[in-house]
Amino acid sequence: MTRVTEADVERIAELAHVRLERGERERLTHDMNQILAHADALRDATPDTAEAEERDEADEAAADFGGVRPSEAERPDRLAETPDVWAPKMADGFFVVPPPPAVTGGEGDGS
Amino acid sequence: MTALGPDAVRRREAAPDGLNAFVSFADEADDTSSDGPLAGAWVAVKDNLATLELPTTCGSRILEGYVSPFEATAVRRLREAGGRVLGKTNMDEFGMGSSTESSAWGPSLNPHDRDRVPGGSSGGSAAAVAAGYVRMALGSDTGGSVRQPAAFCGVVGIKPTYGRVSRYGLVAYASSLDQVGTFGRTVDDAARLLDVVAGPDPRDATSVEAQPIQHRRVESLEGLTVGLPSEYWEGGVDAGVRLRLEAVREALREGGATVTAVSLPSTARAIPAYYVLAPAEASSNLSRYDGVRFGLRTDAPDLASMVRATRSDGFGVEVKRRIMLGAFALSAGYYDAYYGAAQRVRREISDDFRAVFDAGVDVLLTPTTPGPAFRLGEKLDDPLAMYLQDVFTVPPNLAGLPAMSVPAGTVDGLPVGAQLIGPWWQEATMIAVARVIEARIEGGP
Amino acid sequence: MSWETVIGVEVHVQLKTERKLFCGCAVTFGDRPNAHVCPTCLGLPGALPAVNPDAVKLAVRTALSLDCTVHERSVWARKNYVYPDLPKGYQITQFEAPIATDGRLEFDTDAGPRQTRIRRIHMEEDAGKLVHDRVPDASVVDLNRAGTPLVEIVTDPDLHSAEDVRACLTELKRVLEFMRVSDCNMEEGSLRADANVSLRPMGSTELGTKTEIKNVNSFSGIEKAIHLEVDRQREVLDRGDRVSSATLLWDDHRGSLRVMRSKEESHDYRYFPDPDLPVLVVSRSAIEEARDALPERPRELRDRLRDQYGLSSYDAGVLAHRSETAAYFEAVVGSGGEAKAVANWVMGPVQALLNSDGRDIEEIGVAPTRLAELIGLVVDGTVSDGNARRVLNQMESDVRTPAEIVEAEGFQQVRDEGALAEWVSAVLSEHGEEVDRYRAGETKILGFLVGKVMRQSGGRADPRLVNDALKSALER
Repeated sequence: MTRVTEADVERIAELAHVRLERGERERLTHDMNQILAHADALRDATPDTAEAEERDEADEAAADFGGVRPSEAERPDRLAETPDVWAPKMADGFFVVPPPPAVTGGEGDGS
Repeated sequence: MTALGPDAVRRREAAPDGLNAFVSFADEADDTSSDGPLAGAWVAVKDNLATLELPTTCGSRILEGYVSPFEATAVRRLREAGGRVLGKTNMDEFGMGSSTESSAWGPSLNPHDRDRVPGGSSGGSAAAVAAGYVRMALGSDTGGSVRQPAAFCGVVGIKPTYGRVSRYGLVAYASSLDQVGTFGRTVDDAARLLDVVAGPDPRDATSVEAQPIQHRRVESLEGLTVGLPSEYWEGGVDAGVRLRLEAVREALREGGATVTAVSLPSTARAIPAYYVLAPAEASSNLSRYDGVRFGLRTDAPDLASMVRATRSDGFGVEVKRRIMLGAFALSAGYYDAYYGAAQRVRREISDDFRAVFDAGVDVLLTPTTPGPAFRLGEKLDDPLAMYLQDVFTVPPNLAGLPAMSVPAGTVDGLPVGAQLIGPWWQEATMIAVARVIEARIEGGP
Repeated sequence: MSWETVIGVEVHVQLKTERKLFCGCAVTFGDRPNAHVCPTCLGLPGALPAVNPDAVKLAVRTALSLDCTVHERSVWARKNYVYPDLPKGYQITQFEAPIATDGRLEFDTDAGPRQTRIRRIHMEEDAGKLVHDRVPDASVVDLNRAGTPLVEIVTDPDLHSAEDVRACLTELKRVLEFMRVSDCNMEEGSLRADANVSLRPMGSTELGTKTEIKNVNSFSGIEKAIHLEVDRQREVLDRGDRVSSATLLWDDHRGSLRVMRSKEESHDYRYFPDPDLPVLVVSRSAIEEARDALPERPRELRDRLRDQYGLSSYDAGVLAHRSETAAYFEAVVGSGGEAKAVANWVMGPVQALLNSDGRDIEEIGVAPTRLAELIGLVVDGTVSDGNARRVLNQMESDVRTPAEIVEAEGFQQVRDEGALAEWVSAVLSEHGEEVDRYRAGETKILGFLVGKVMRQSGGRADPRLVNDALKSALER
């Protein structure tokens, strides 16, 4: 059974921000269908039971706040070298990127 | 044993029978070592742990030459204990693989047979220890990435309880499963390194303030119950591996342990759950590789093309496969069927383990892998076959349990590993049992 | 057909914490680019988030001020989309299990009091800034803002006009200012509002197709944008067409809306629980403690000022507009000032003094005790209202007591009949023509003569006595 088509794969590639060559797309479609077929075993999973998630944090109730940082983490970890050493491109302290299409393209009036 | 320094290891690796275990070497003259439990010891570090001096590439072209401006907590603790980083070890790209073949820097080789893989993803660390380059190495284990290469290379590999070691500075593959692990020539070596890097870290909210590991040496296993999960011993296991595991079972029995068969009925669903959850988290964790702030950038006239071109050039095929799979599993309309269902299976698997441990089992004994090291290229074109390599190692990651692989002898000259799985935070019992196996099984160090 | 407008708003509020939500970097505005960044807020490989408890406290206070139910357990989630101002390629937010739900906000409109339900409040991190036109053919990224704590407040679609929205947001801003959780500065972006607008046939209970208005940075902007959009939707519906769902961006310079292109919108955020962060737990006792310590809300303050001090609703409302003003008023009354007089002084001369150089009341250089003294001198007739104002203006740079200043400047009111009679007769003899006109029946000229006497006295004569003295002299 086909679970994803090449068109699906193209759509997912868009979400994942990767460009696929034609051969890659065919191969990924095949691989994903094979792997997803294997994942059908998940359908036998028992229905969700919310209590399962509760138990791990039961001991946290003592403090006012649980899951927050202790004061030792209040200081930022320092950068051994500033971004200009390792960033692909910087100018005046900014990271430089090519413009997004919305900036270069014309604007339609929506009203 | 005389310790080798970076220069000596570099020379050995440069020889024709080099293993490609390392992707970078430290400068031997840079001595930052101090006193402590590891005073002066050279340790190999997997290339997905951030180090200040050496690049951290995760076996990926997208991080080629990237030197992290901050240091992983585990690496800092290693240095503070007197250890010295010898070099960074080769790995499957971002930890995604079971053979190191997905590394952008070429595969590492198994020192026992150079036509075979050392396992993965921490294959370089395992090979470095097995080749005698170092006594100890750091790795990381998301679905077996420490234990499986330890088994393939005939060394000890420990994956502690999730939360035992800080993940700060461990480049994320699948955050809810990733855990820093240790390799050693002996159980003691691996345990000693674990003691050094373990402990809570305010910078990792998933690290846990737990009792330190209380090691104990036992002469007799009297009073200890070892569980053999039937699902791990049935079909699919190589006959030679089975024989070696039976020898381990008998050794434990002779040592005084009670050996009993148990059942973990959800085991068959572990791989499907893992190969939904890990890619799902990976698809999100790897979104930050966009060419904007660090690492590779492939130039393009507009933003979206730059991001796409950078990721297409920088990621290898296995990484693309998993982030695609993960993006799909999280996408609208499929979330419940895949991600949601996998989370429920994950809970079932935890519950299975809990039931067995609650019934009085102290430690579980299983094969680490279905078979010994496979040949280079053997499973490259069959991702599913590669994924099924992890069938015995994935369940402890899903449950967050401590587990380790200890050498169980060889089959046709190839090492075989025995896996021990302990209850949460009970590394000490597991390690004590491993020492007994080490002492009683021939083919150990 | 007549249509009912239905609007819900989503408001992003930056919480006023010293440090960012998931790392220890300072929260700042207007500093040099990328000066406050670290591995975590840069999204470097291997860095991890750790939650700032101060932000949680402010979020809880915000939620309680809007009568929300605060949940003991909430879950961090990742919202996945790739944009250069979002370092990790996902935003850490709350999705299925937000920190608070089910609140309400009351506000006043010209048409009377209204209220809206608050559907939910969740915590999340802010993105950085993508800046255009700084470098030719490129955009630049500043991540100082990345990781700043935000709460997003989502109302139910309970608002029915642009005026409702403006009144609702104005009151919301005031509540948040009273809670001291945010600077609420729309220009600086510490408060940002989006509106979901739809129309439905009057009397219908079903919601029509909505459009979302984004990118508005002032209250007047959002009012204009909603007017435009409601008119546009009405035209579409009157034509018999359907409104299509869209995201609209407000252009403040042009005063117009444009449709966001589908490419700019991310269709599938693939939310899932963030595996780097455990469940956020706020204990029942921490919630109750926060409730007990909750600052007074504007409407509570207004009602209390009215009832406790016998003020008119209007005066109480003016004083309660800012909690600092009310606090000053109460301090002056506490120092012995008579409430009604103090209210007039705070709303009048004090406000005028502050307005003269654009200061807020917390910057005033007149201690409440000193103002109370000054008002006392007016009430007991020692100094005239006008001279008291002159004293007030002097008090900020003068350490003497008001009484000493009045004494030294000779501002005491003169009530001595002899002195008054002298000034009166001097003025009357100088202004024979006006005296004749008064006697001819033009009585309103009296004011002119009073002014002349006051001037003659250097402003010190008691104006009431001058009035009486003039009248009796003229009618003799």
